[in-house]
Amino acid sequence: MDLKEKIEKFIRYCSSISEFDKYFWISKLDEFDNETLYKIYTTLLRFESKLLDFELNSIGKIKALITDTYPELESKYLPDFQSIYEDFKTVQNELTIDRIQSLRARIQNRLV
Amino acid sequence: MSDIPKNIIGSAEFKAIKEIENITETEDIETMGQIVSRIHDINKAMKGFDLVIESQTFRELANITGVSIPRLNDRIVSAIKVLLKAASITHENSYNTIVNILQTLFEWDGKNLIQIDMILADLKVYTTIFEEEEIIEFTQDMIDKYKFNSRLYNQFINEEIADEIEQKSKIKNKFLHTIPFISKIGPAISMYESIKNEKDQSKAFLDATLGLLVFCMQQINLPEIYISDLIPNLIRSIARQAGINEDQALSMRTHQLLDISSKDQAGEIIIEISKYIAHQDKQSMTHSRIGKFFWTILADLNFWENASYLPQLGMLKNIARGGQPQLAQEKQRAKLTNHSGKIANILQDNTNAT
Repeated sequence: MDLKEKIEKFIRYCSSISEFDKYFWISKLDEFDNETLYKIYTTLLRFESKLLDFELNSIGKIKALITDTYPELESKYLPDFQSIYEDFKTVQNELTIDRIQSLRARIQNRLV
Repeated sequence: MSDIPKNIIGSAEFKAIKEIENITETEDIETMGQIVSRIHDINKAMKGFDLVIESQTFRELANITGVSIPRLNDRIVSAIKVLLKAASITHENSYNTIVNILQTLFEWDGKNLIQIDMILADLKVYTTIFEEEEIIEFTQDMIDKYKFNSRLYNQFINEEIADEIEQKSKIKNKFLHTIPFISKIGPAISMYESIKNEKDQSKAFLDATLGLLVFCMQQINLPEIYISDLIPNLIRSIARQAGINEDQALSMRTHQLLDISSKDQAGEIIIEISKYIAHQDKQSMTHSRIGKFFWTILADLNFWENASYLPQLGMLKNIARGGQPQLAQEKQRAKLTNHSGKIANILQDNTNAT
């Protein structure tokens, strides 16, 4: 997968670009040289990582809030949240859109 | 575009409330109300952060690439303003106005634009070959029958097209090859029809604008995007165009955005649309032309089935009510999540007490 394909995939699945603007950026990728594409990729990774960090922290706060008040929910509400969060911290500097999706999916699957 | 629901915090909140309700006895309701309110604040903070990140990402990408095209929200607002400014309406200039607006909106997507241009050019040629009434009758019939509903449209294509080809008149045969695009150009034709026949031009403009928005939604064609996401962003776009800077527009409260938006004609139209959605008033929707546009498109997007999980619906409702205080939002939200009314009761008690 070349860099342009990588970015296209990233844009399709990321949350740091508004859904309304995704098609716009994808349609523009052909116009950029490799250096610009690389800058785009690192920018997207940085913002997506920041967003995911904030999402996980927010979920951590929700978990702490309910389990502090209702300790019996500890085993019912996202019991493996801490391990998901630690996995994120481990790969934070080597994120790919697949890893980001996988982390979000692990949380989502436990919330349905 | 994404397979994973974007709002995992919303899911986390929903699940947390469900778990709490499952274990809470009647005497714990007050604590539960407090916890729910704090969870809601965490979710709200996340939504604010989400918008800030989207905005920062767009700006940084624009800096890196030198791209200066406005965002889709800004283009939609500009298109509404173009429509509102058009002074007189005739067949020719309404057609051109529509084409110009579509070009403005979809200049970033060459493929779609070529398709739209070809369809509209085809229709224009047909109007010189066939009687205009025949074309209007046929297209209107298609629009009324299928109402831009892609599921019904697909059913028609699969089950009825063979009969149609054999039995219908020459003009309908001529149009059959455009059928795959009718759901896409439907709003444009409706816009033309509204403008052409309406004595009240300002109302015609309003209908045309709404048709345009429906068209945008269809072109975007992403089931996870709902009008409820679009409208608050359109209102922010109005605020930005009124001179409010990007970060301020993101952090403004609903009533502040509403004040700015209501001073702008395009903003008034957007608020009007939000009322139709927020009130979920089926009766008024099906009895007005504007409502019909939205009823159809929202039904097609399974909007109502998903409405209570939509992150922006609370804000929409608040916009529709005119930006009422936080407590009213909380009450509404509690009703929406439909958790046996317990939370709504607590909030109602608090209201009574104050």
